[in-house]
Amino acid sequence: MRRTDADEFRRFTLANAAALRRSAYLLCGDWHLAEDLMQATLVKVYQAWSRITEPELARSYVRTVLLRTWLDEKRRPWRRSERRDGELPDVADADADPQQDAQRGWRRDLVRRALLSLPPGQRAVLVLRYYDELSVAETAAALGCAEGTVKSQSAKGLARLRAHIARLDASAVLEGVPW
Amino acid sequence: MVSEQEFAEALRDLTRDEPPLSVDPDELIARARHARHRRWSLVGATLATALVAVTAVGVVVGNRLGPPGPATQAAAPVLATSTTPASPPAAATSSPASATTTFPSFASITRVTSSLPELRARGVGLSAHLTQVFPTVVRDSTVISVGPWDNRVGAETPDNGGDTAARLVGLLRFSDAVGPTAVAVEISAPGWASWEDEGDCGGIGTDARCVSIGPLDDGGVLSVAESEFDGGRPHRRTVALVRTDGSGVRISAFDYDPGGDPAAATTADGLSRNEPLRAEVALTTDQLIALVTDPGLVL
Repeated sequence: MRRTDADEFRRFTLANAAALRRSAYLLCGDWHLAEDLMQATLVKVYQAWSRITEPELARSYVRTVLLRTWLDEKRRPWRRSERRDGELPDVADADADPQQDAQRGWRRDLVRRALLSLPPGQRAVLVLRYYDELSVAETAAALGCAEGTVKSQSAKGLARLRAHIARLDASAVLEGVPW
Repeated sequence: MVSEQEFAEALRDLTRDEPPLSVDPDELIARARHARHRRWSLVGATLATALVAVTAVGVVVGNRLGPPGPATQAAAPVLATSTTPASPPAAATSSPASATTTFPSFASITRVTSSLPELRARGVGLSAHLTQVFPTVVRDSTVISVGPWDNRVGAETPDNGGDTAARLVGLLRFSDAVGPTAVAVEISAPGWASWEDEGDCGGIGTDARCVSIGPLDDGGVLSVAESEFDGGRPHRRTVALVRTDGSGVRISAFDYDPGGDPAAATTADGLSRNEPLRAEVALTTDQLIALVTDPGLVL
């Protein structure tokens, strides 16, 4: 591979690694696994780098590779399972407001648990549509499915997520929490 | 009730407390180059083996038919080594120098999915088939159970909420002269056996190493990998077959019982490792090859 290709890949990696890891975290629910998925994805992307001609194409391709890498990881029955317990990273929040902290933490945990309860396909659709802010067509391209499938999975996923949140919410008594 | 906007905000909020990121592009590049180099080495070894075989056949045929002519073009290659371009990204331009893999090009393969009822029915049929075939391959063995099958689309939730599926994964438990153990079986529908890009020729685990890889006469690719090394000894042997339509079979055998008491799980990746360990992995490479190439193992 040419030196310029390697340089472009370095720039791409530094510019996109954090966002890629965040998407991976939303898919798998574990920051350590997300880091592994991000790195495995970028290694695979580098192997195809000489054939990627445009930055936008690279971003689209990297999403597809991430999804495949994650699904491949999941379909190994003997691989690490997702963490559904509430382990939070040991990082201080500089903007922490004590009064809002409990509410935010509760809501975050609700959403995280509800998201991880979804089947992988629906979870991927929701992350791509509502976190990566992709259109239906872009999501379909990333997942390799029809646009109709994206719409139906998105609707089913949201409905299931709402039901799960409502169920979790009803199981706890906490005043003043949104939803 | 969660509106779409609230959900989008909640997703962004979920990633607010991310741990520090340290990514080294040069390390990633080194890993990619190493994986590519390893694959090229394996392809080279396969080609060299084929060349030796072709030469040997040519010499034998030439000696029997008389004095050799100036060329031995009549000798057909024993191993048909054909390379196909690696899967390119969508709409990417393909470089002529990109023929780096012998795997089928998944870029041009249509993925086939089944309904869950179809998949469940297929699982029942596969269980019966494997129960019948396995003892003919692994002599003096008794099949204890096959499955339950998991479609891996909704691996953690039996009801995957969708209407399509493409794989069946499960354990075939059996007993032989040593005791009970199991093989892990993974059968993929056309277009889904995409483990070619894992750099470990279908091996399972982060330490998987290629033992061999080569094309079949029908264009499929067969690979053998070992993993879970302990003092240089592999605890797992995996044989994977990728057919030209992108379907495939991957079966792993172990030197322990992965299907015994789940509470005995001691491996880092969550597999049950029920001891005692066997002296060898339960199935030989030839036995695993015989199983993965069984024409009945299709979705």
